[in-house]
Formats: sequence, C-alpha cells, structure tokens
Amino acid sequence: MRPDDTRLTPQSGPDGGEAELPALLLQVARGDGEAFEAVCRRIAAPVFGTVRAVVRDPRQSEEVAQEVLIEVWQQASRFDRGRGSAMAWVTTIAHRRAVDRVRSENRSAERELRAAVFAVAYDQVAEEAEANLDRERVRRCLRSLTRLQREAVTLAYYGGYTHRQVAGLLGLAPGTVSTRMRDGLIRLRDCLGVQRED
Amino acid sequence: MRTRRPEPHTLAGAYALDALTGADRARFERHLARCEQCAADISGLREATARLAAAAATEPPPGLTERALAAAARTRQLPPHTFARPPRWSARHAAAPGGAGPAGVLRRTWIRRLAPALVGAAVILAGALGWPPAALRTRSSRISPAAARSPPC
Repeated sequence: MRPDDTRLTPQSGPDGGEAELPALLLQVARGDGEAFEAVCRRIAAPVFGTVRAVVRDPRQSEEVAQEVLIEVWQQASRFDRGRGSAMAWVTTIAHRRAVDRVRSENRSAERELRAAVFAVAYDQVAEEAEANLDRERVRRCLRSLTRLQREAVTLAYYGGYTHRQVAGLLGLAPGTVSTRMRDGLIRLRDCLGVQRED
Repeated sequence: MRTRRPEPHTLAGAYALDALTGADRARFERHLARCEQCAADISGLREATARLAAAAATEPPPGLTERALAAAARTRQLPPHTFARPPRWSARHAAAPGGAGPAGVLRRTWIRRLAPALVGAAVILAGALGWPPAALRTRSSRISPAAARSPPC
C-alpha cells in the first residue's frame, strides 16, 4: 500500500466527503490515525445526534458517542463496502450502542420512559439537530407515512423503544407494530431514494 | 401483550430499528441466516435508518474527537474476519456492522465450538451402539495387534 497517494484529507463542509468514507475506513483499518481523525470529523455529528436522541442525558451521550468512535476504530477492518454504505455501518453501531445503554439502565425506569413518550417525537429531535439537507428530506418523507407508521418508526429509532414497548405505548399488538415499522421504513427508504442499487 | 407470533419476515423493520430484543431478536436472526432476501431487505432499511441518524446530526461537545483519537492510540484494532470461502451473504452483514453480534459469525463460531463435542458425542454413541461391530473388532485384533491399534478408516 502506498500511503502517499491514498491518504485523504478532510473536506470542508459538514456533508462533504461521504463518498470518501469507505476509502478512509480502509486506511483506518490499517492503523492510520490521520484517516481516523478525518472519519471522526465526518461522523461525529450524526453519531452524537443519534446517540443523544436516544440516551438524552448529555454526559452519557458523550460517553456513548466516544465508545462508538472507538468501536469504529477497532472494527474498521470489518466494514465491507459491498454490503452497505459506510454511514449506515457507522450509524448502526451508534444506534445499537445507544439502545444498549438505555436498555441496561432503564429496566426499572420503564414507567418513566412511558411518561416521556412523545417527548422523543421527531419534531423535537429535528429541532435539536443542525439544519441540514437530510433533516429536511427526512422530515418531508416522514410526513408521507401514515401516523402509526411514523410513530412506530420514530419511537423505535429516536426513542430507543423495543417493538413490544412501542406496542404498549400505542395500544396495539406487537405484530401490528412490527408490520407498521416495516412498511414505514420501506416507504421512508423509497421516499429518500436510498434503495441500494445492487 | 403476547399474541399470535408474527411471521419472522415481518420483523425486518423492527430489526433494522434495533427494536427487537431477547427471544424476538434471536428468532429473527435464525430466520435471517437462512433468508437471503431478508438480508438484502435489512441492508436497504439500514440505509433508511442511516438517514434518520443523519437528520439528527448535532454538533458534538468540544473535544469529543480529540478524546477518541487519544483513546484509539492506545486501543488495539481487531483483525478482519477471515473466511476460507466467501461467507454467506446473509446474516453477517445484516446482523451487525461490526462484531456487535453478526449472526453469521456467531453461527460459525457456534458450529466450530460445538464441533469437537459433536464428534465426541458421535464416538460415544457409536461405542454405545456397538460400532465397530464386536466381530470386526475381535477379528482385527486377532490379525495383528498393530492393525488393531491403527485408526479405522
């Protein structure tokens, strides 16, 4: 490998460079600290935003976000660009760690979560997030879902609830909720035009 | 609320949203390991959840990246997964992006771990069922002690 011609430098702009993420991760897998820094600069905001939406507590969110970044460092060699985008790989790690954190902490505090249920609605997440193109597109596409689809998807994703908890919150059978989640995500995927091309 | 169990296929959305836990998740991952279409579906749905993540992007607290860089410098990286042949597309990708529990890997590990036990069980069972047949055993030991010691083929 020739580091001189493959080393990539961070691009300016928050959304720039997604196309380079896979190449950067390849460098990170080989222990390249500069590439890891470039990766962190690109993923820190979506990682932190996702984690905070779920975890809520700022200090814990920061802890979890840092764990996510370290996991990206550790696991970089296991990213396979043929099987999904780099951002999907990263945000899946972030979301999973965030829900793991709240589920391990909140077993007894489930009732409290119940009370806070609609506090995690998308509008609040969107309000806290930075204005960006994704936010506007996601907002528009979420509006194209039925109300139940939208609630099922956002309570699970931003609220970190299990499908059984969402069922409890919405007063529906778990089977109904899982169907709404699937249909909602499919509609969201199609609306966002993120269907994989292969 | 325990009602009729839904078809595993309908759990793809909940799985992509990390909304399955415990037995629900295990059940779906078993299904996923056999269902290539589901794995492809999950992959597409994860691209959608990645946009949900991007939409929540928030300026991280100052120093987050620096602390991560410092921690990375003292953290050993994991080697890539190595497979003698290409892994089954399905579960490894769909389950987790990295080590957090890829079903395909777990499956392989599970089989590898159990393999010696299975072989052992087979040997014991064979002994219990009288294989090789007693007649054969005595005959071979009569022919030559060395032959009797050599492993049967």
